[in-house]
Amino acid sequence: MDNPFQDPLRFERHVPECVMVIFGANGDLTKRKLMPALYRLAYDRRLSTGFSVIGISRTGMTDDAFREKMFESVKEFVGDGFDPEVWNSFAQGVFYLPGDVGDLESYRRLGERIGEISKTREVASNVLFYLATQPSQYAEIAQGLGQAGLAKDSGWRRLVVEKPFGRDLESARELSEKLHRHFPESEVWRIDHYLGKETVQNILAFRFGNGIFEPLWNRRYVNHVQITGAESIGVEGRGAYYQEAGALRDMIQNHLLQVMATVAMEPSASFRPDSVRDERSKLLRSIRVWKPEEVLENAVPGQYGPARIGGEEMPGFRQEQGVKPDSQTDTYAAVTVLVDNWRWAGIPFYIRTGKRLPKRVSEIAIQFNEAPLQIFNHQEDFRAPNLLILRIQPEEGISLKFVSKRPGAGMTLRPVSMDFNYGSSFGERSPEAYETLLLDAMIGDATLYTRQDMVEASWTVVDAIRQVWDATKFEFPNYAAGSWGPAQADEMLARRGHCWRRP
Amino acid sequence: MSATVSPENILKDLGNLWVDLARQGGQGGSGVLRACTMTLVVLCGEHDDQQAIGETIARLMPQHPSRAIVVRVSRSAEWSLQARVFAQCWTPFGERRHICAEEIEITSAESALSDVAPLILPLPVADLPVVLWCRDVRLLDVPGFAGIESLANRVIFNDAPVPIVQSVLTQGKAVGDLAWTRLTRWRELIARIFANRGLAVLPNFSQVKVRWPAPSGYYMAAWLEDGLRRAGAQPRVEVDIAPAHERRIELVSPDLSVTVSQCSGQCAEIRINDAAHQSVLPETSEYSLMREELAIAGHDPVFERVLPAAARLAVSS
Repeated sequence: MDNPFQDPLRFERHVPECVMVIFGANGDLTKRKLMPALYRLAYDRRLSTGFSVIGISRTGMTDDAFREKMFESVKEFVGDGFDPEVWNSFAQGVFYLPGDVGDLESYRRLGERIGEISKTREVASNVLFYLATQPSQYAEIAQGLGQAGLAKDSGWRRLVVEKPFGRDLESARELSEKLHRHFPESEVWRIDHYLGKETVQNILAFRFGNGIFEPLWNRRYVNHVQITGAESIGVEGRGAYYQEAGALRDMIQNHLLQVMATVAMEPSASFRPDSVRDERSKLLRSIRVWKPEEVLENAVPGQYGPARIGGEEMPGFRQEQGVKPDSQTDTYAAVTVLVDNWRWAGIPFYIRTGKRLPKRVSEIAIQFNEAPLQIFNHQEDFRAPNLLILRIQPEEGISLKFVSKRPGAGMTLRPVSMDFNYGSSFGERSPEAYETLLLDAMIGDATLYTRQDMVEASWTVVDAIRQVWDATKFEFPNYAAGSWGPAQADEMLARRGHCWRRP
Repeated sequence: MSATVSPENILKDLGNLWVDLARQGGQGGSGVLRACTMTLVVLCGEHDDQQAIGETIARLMPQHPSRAIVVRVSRSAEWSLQARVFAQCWTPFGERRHICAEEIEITSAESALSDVAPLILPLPVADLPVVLWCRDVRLLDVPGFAGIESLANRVIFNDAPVPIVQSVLTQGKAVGDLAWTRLTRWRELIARIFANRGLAVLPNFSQVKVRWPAPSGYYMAAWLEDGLRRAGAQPRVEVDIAPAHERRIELVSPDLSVTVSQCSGQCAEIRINDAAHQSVLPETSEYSLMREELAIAGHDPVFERVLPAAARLAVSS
């Protein structure tokens, strides 16, 4: 029976009592993202009264030392909104346990600590295990939790894992198989923080909450789609890690293909987690997998070289610390994606991402077909295509570009933009992606989490490209830091009569 | 301020206001963005604290940017009608650009109230919802004010008599009352008591006793009755009008007694048979209540379901 007293329009979503165990508690992700997100949830009174955090890492530390460390980082990353009183109350539920993920004794002690905390803070036996560690430790931790009997109990036990979910299809399957030995798929929560961003969620509202866009959302009216995830920074000291990953694996396999799936998926029958995820998954499985001989025409890798930007010398990727001088790693990737279904057949989705591009911007641009008959001749401007731009960051919002008559005599046209700015229409602070996603995991709403079939579908697409790239020796570097990527990426679009827009 | 108070002059003043703001923003180089998601018409009561209302509206603007039209009544006015326009601006954290929403303030002498409605009717922003915040129901009896009410997509009252609120609903209009909004955190607390395993006991409750200030008490009793009936119970409902510090509800079944009552400070005590614990309730203000109400764009199904029973209880007590 549903609770007859529920009022979903007004009541906040009920967050059950739980303990969150963070493996890798001494790492950057915990300091920069997880703890600030948890603090903000506490500030907004979204967490349950007895909510507790147990941080685990190898470093020896007391509870108080861990609290002090987290206090400093939360204060730094939350900024002006920091309230010491809220922190003091929140910190009473923050604990620390030194432990090695390879040592079974650590899990036994963890079990005892969960038991103690559940008792003293009157928390039900619900536990969220968050793996903020090296991906190579995921399977080991799942096994440790399973062997110590922590993967099952009277309450729920959920395992949240960060990307990358494997390095390719084979390793992704292998990882899942290892996790599934102890946690069923329904309790494995693969987090993709891009999907937690408000504007990405807003794509669903925009498409399926309005009547006017969906009729245009198909091959008949859409000319092509460009998805950009550009970063202005370089590898920022993560050269050694990045050298093994590359842009295709680091951004396209997960974030950008998920965004694309959200833009292109069919409407789901309901807004239930599995309905939405089924449609996203179906879309990913409809992506055409390039044959080896098609790859180089439809997927362009790039690597930045040195440049002088704003009077400062920027090193090329090969000059970054920890990077081999002859590295073949892609710091830029541009891919043409075709979707083999009735809605999108023949419509290219161009996806690009890169480091050291001119600015940090993530957006989706849907370019519509031109008017069938051009009656305003001899003008260049009127050819500006209609564009619908969904801006993910930095300034979340939606813009529609169209042409308009310039005031004055004569029929001079010029492109104009109609802007919706998320921040100004809704003055409330947009929650950070991690706030949304952590809350969803506690509540049990998996809509924004990635399922194994989705991971496998994306790896299938990416592996086909990766295998050809790995077997090819590219002339790197092929773009200067601060530029919009290699010329070959422009040529890739030009072959289909298109060009990259400048975000 | 325009020499003659007319809709045309007010709209002209608004146009000039935006030109001025754009100039000021342009000089600073950061620009001004106009934000508007609705028209909010506020009918203030004669005894309302005008400054407090002004502050509430200013606080609401960043969350619900609107064209706010505030109607004030002045008994001491030597003139009959005055209007002024101004902007409420704010700068989002980390941005340089100002965001502004517009406000029209109309002050009327009591004798000129009947001239106010024709002034307001042309002012709402086209194609966006109109929300009427009626702080004094007596104003709806002023000639022409019914026209303002019918213009509104949603009417929000401040502790209006329940039958009046219901009469607006019977016209098919979305309606709210801050007397109901004040109950949200209490209702949430009660819903949590019965979440999951607690649901099984709901059909056994045979009696509901509510001690609460009016009109919120009628809503609380009607809501409890509605919830229990939906769970299969046939409760007898009693409402006692009591001061705020004595707020208390009691649900009784043959083997279970659940009491939720006000304790000192912003807190509620929940007692289930002999076991008791306390829960902190966040403080409410007119700003927080209106913020919650304005977040609801259309009909509020739970309130509207409860309203007829609340009206029945109000009339019968």
